[in-house]
Amino acid sequence: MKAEPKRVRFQSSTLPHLDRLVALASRWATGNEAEDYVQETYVRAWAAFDQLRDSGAAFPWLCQILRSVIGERRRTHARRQQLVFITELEAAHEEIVASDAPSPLDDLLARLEAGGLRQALHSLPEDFAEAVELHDIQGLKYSEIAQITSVPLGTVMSRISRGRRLLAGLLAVTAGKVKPGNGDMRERSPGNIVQRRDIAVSGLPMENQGRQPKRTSDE
Amino acid sequence: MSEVAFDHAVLETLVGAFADGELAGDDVRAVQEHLRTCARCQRELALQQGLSRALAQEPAREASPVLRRRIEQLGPPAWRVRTFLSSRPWAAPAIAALVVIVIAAGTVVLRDRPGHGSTPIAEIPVLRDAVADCRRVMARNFPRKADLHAVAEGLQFPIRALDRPDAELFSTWKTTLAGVPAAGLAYRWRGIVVVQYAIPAELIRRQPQVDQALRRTGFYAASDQGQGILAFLADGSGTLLVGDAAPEVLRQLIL
Repeated sequence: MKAEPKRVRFQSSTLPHLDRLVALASRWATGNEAEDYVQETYVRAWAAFDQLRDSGAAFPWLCQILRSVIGERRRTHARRQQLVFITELEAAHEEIVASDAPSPLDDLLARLEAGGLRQALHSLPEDFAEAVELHDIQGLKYSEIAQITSVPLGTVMSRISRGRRLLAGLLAVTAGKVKPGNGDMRERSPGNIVQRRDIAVSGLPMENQGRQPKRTSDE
Repeated sequence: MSEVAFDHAVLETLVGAFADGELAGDDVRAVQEHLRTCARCQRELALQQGLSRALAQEPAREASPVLRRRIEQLGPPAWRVRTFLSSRPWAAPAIAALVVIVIAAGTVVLRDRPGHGSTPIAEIPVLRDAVADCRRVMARNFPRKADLHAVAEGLQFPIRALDRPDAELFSTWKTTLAGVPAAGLAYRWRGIVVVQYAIPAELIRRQPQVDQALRRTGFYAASDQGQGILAFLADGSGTLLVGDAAPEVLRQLIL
């Protein structure tokens, strides 16, 4: 294979996805760090470009590489796992769909500033937020998301559906439309709501936090 | 759980996929039928659709001009050359003449360029396998650990990691090059990934053209599709460096 046609094909296949990859990388990092992830993704994609058989599948392929890059970097820096009170968000969602009252969702969405919904999404547990973002923001199909994240199609279906429920719950709790099940509501915003350390994952008591956090099951 | 309750519990989990048009035949009909009578699932459908629509309208961050330029430099875009040529009729003959001069000059220079091989790497099994292994790991997940002791286990030659403060070792793995066990070590260095392969010294010397270059200059350099390859011997073992940089740049890692 000659180098020049390869470069042309590489650029025409991958450059149109640059902005989307930066937006996706911003889920895990901000500013220069996100762009570093994307740059390394392209360096690896260039080296492995011969393995891309279908240029129409370039974006999912780049997403896979980006996830690898980010996975390695984050392992290196070993960030503390954020704690999320899933049960509270699920209860808030339950209150929305079980009530006969008009849904507060449209009102909640209208009150958000541009970018606020995306920021709220970033506050959710990674598996759910990633699946929702890849579908609703990046426009990928369920099958493509399954390929990128290496999980079965049914799991993608479950993560997207549950991710949106948690997001609705988060908006409701943040806006005070739904009374929280535990903890106070002071100084809450979509961005900081999951970083509280006094509430455990799925209601796991604080004394258990030193052990492996309980994972929420979506499969 | 009653049959009705079971149906509701199952169908409720399908509402999100129904909203996204990701269900097939029977499932679509089952959800549609259920939605006629279930107010809760109707609200769930509105919620799923409303959030999906709202997320699709969220503003997205874009790549900075600096990043875009860097990515474009991974390969010079040929369309720019075509645009340049089509708007300047004199340019093509001038460039052709320049190319002839450069090739002639390059032939003279390369004849005496120390260490640089002219044999395609496809004809040198250990280099061919190293480049293939490097591309394979770059396209997949690098192994999680950087454990020199683990990869050195069972090998009959010493492994020495690159000793440079600006090169971050982040992954190690065992592999096979030209049918011989070897170790791969991946570094981040100056914004690129460089892979070091530790191999037996005799595996490098087995290649006559590489052995000649080593005796003459102390290293063997080659390139393949934009990747540089550098081979050398140190402390009784052989080392190959593979990365997206010219061999001259890779040499800076061992100077």
